[in-house]
Amino acid sequence: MAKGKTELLAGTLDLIVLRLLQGGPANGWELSQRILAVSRDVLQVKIGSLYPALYRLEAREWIKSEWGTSENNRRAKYYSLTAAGRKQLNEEHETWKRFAAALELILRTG
Amino acid sequence: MIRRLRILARSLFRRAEAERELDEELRFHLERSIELHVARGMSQEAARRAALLQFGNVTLTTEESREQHRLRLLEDLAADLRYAFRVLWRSPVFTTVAVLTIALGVGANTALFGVIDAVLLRTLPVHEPEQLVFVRAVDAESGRFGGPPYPWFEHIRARTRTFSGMAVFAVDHEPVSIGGQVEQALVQIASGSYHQVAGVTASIGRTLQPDDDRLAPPVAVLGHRYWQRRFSGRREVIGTLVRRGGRSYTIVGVTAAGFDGLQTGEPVDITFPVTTVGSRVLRDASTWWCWWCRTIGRLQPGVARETVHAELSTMYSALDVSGSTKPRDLRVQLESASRGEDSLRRTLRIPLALLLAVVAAVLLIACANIANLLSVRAAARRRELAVRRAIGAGRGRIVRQLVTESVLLFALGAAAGLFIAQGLQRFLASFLAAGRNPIVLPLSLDVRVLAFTASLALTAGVLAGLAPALRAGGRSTFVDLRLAGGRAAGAWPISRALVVVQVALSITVLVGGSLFLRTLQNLRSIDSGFRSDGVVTLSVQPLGSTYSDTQRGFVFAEVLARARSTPEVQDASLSVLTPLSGRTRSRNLLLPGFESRPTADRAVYVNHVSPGFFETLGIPVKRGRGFAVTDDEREPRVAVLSEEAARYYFGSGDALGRMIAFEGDTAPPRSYSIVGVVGNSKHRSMREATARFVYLSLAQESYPASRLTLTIRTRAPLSLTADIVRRRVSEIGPDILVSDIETLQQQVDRALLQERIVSSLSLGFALLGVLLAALGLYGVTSYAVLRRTNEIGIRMALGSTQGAVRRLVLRDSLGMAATGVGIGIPVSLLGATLIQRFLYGVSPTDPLVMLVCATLLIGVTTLAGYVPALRASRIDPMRTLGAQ
Repeated sequence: MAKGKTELLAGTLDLIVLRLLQGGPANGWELSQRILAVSRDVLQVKIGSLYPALYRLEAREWIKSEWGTSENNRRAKYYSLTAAGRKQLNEEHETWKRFAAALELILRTG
Repeated sequence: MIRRLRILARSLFRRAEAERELDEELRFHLERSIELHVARGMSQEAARRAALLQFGNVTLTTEESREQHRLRLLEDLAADLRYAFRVLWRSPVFTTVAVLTIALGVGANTALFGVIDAVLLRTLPVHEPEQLVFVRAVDAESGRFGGPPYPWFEHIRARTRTFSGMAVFAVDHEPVSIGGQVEQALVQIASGSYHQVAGVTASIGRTLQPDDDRLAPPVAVLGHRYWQRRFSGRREVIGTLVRRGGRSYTIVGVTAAGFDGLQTGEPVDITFPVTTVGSRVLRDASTWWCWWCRTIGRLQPGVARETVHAELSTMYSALDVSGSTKPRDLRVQLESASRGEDSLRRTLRIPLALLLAVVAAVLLIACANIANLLSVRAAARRRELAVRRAIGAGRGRIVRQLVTESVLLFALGAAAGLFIAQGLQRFLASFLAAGRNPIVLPLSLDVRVLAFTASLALTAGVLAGLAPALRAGGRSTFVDLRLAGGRAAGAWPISRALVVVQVALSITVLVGGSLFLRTLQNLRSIDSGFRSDGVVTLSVQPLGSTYSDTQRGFVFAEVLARARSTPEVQDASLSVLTPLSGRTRSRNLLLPGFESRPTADRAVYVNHVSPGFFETLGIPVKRGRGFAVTDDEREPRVAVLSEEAARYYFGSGDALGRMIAFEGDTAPPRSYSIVGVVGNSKHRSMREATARFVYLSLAQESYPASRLTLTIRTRAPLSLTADIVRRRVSEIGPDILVSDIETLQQQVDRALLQERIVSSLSLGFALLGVLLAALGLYGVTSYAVLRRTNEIGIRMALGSTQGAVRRLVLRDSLGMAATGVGIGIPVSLLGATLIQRFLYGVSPTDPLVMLVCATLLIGVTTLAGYVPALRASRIDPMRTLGAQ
């Protein structure tokens, strides 16, 4: 792994995927590219993590999938957020904010 | 829900399609990746390599994603289990206490289920048991029922189109002689077709066959248990001879293991062809029921019961009886025989149901304990759980982890409980197998019982684990992270509620157990009318093949003489019946003024006795005299009545000197002059209403039975005396079978079998329940004290005395106990009225029982609360507060 690229913190991939899907449906490829782009190439997602995560989220009914056509006219599976997923995203986001704040506090004082 | 199902269905059933989809998705990803690299200026080949590198192992990814649905649960489970094992291993005290508690609860339930399964549920181990029915008819007016007399049976069997086979059988204890040694065996006589109809195979040799009815040659088939017990399972037994009633039979086979005959609890030892009863009995069709046999039939596959019923009813209406008249309203009955005969089920159904309720309550109490222990532990593990949540474990995941721990505990407990179950079953089996007619049950921890235990442990584990797990899993993560290691959050009211429920349950079973104990004591202290201490009975039977009727009389006279001359013997007598022996004989009286009364009013027990009978049994002679040596065949016939019989038939008038006779006697009926009245005594059971008895002289009836009971009273040790007498009796001549040696007290005990089982077990389990409830209260109170350490420290620093602190804690635990008792008493009252029918001489609302139980429970729980209270009062305020 190249220097400057960070592995994802366990448990955060779900949150990231949910957040990215909030902007609209996307296929797996697009998601992996968006993660790179949005994190300014810092976060590298392994394919071996991304797809299991997608299946896991789908099994939990936070996202749903359907086959569609990609921008280069190929068949691709598109994932989109469900209502439950939206709710989960909000909750996790809140939780994350508090956790990050607490962590920051600890790191700063400790 | 439906969507969830669909996903599940897809993962299970449309696996191929799901895999194709996944492949396509990943291929798409790879191609886009390559395109991107090419667009950035790589060659096609280099781009492909780079993309693949980035991609990792495609197959592996495919595997992982594909297995996501199916394996995730399994993997999680394995991880949870590993983790649970580690957690339990780390706290051996908790684990030991919890496993023991569960073992007791589950073990008791397993043992009882084993018995219930053997007695009430299990079908016969034969081919298609559901096709088997008992064939009988019932007289709608009198309620009398029975199978068809043998000639009718043969008529029906020859013509039926709905049965694939029919057979008669009868079972009785009889003397048989094998290798010159006489012994008592449970003998069955059965049609040659019996084993085929029943669907039983042979384990060695062969079973009975229709041809065996011709007795050419006479054959016998052994039961598997008997073969194992008597012949240690030796194969050479085939071909040996059995003598029974003057005829020799060749043993041709042994029935399959597990089949004990059609009566639950009474394994058949040897089966002989039915034709050995002789043609006079076989041809008898003087009654519409068979007085000596029962009939079983196997339905043709696919034939409805109604069809069979209709066919039999038609045949029945065409048949006639030679002697008495056939009842007008005779109805055919087909009783399922898939589980064998019903008598044992009837005897044990209620006691078993009661005990099941008790052990279920014990298991509930145990579950409540585990739930409390788990919730205390979950509270102690707040920090660990909080960390797990923070790094991404969902609530469901945590709940699952905790429930897994609970289920694992219950699995371990259930495994240990199997040992307890085995011990308990052995105890129960010895209870049932005691005495003259032992009930032998196929008790074993077989697949059915194990399946029951497993599902019980799983259910209980989930139940006990779920509440604490939901509570722990539902907690806010960050509060716990911050507070971890410090003071706990508030008390959990469910813990206290569980303790209250435990106390309420345990007082309910305790009240039940105490009422049963009182019932047993009352039945034991009933005036039975005879004195059972120091009395032993022996059954004496000179075999008919060796002795004629006249010789038999001489033998019996000699038996009595020898018994009397034995120095250890105080009194001895012979009789047809003895109290509570399980045998009865009754006849209808012919008496002026009673001719038109229903037979029930004229029925009396009749016992033939020798002189000395009343003295030996300690039955007092109230008026007139007992029998004397002079009451023999040369003298006028005499009778002695019980007080109840005298009062019932002669009222306030004097019975002495009056004459009685019996219905169905020789014509004209012999009449007996009443010479004495003796005290009442119990005969069939301790609970029966006072019975009417007529005693006749054995000598005047020229010894009417082939088997008599010798009763002896002694001050010497009973078994010793019985042994001496037995030896002296068998010295009289060959082929005199002495069997069933038993003290009268043992017979009284057996008559109280149900009561003894229920009272001893329910009381035992109730005390176990109380112990568990006390443990639960101790645990919750200890935890409360631990939680309140700071508070108590502050109180003491502010001047609270040790006594005040003790009272504070005690008040808390007493409050829970008192609430439990307060709820439990009304519940017990309600429960007690349900079991009223089973009680004797004690009211279901007996205030003394309630008071004793409540006191005991409050006492035990106070003790359980006192230990933590003492600990609380020793808290050192300086150290506690300093630790903050």
